[in-house]
Amino acid sequence: MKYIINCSLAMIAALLLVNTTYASEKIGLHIHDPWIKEAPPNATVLGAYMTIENHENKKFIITQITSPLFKKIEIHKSVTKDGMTTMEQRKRIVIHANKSFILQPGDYHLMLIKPTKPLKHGDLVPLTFTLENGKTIIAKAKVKKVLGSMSPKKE
Amino acid sequence: MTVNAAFVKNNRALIAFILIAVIGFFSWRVYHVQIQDPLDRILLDPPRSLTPFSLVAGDNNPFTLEQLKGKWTFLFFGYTSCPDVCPTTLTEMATMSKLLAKSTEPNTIQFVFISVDPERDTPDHLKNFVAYFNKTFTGATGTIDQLNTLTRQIDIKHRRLKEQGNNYLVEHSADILLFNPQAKLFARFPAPHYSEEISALFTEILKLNKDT
Repeated sequence: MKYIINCSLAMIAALLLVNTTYASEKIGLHIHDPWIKEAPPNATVLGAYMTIENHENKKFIITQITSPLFKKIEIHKSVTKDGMTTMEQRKRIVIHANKSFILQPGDYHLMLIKPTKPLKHGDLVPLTFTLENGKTIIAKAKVKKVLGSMSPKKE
Repeated sequence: MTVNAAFVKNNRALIAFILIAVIGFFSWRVYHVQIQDPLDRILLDPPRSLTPFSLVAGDNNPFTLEQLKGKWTFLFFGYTSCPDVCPTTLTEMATMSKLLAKSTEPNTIQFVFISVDPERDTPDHLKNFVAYFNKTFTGATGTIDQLNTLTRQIDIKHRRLKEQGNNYLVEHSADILLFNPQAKLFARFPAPHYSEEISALFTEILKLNKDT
């Protein structure tokens, strides 16, 4: 009996470890591997990254992202123009039918503004994505301390 | 079959010579593509001297031309209310610091982050911010005029974008600059930055500098 319980627990643990994809049951839109780059304790903004997969034959539009742990969340893209790097704010994220939308360092990211408390490696941050059709998806982004290179891969 | 074996036997020296020549040629090409060409793109010839500038680091310490002397300096401009590019670059610089610690003499290299957003980034805020990436990193800033005295000499552009409230963005050049121990601008590494690539190039720069 004990053996069976242990096995079940191990299986549940394994499932929890492997499955970091978040979805709403009725929507074929999945938030895959959301993570936040751990920042200095006095940082006022953090960056969040993920892959959003659309498994349906119609496009989805994310219009708002909120979290109880941040005052505000904006959609940004890092761009370089005339030798200067800046961020451009986007009002929404469009995920076309059967396509993925990638948020990654040096590119699209969520700018998480004013954390309500310092966040450390391993913390889980709930993010609520509101779609244009009013539906919501809740994902939990893991805070990760990044060591080594995190620049976008060379083409 | 026997003909081939006999050919190899009789021409060992020739085959060895061809093999060495081919390997030599490809090594030279690889060196050129991976080291020489990238060096040509990043080095300033000749290195550029600077006129004095005056900035402030944490604990009210001065950060001036004097602080660039005696060490190689990797310098990056940005601001702390920047969630993506600036922390990414500082992470790369922290990795460079680790990689280069293995192959260089201690205390011969320093890493500096200069904020072009003095309104929000005080020197002490910067000090704590950069310490997260590496305790030896320096953070500095100054008034916009003081910053411009330095940035105009080294082709670093920065501009505050108009937005309401305290939530504005700052545009800035994202090159990592390298100064030699004579405080001359020696090289500029454009973004995106790869710590391993920059460390390898810097190691070559040190070698070339020793030879001359």
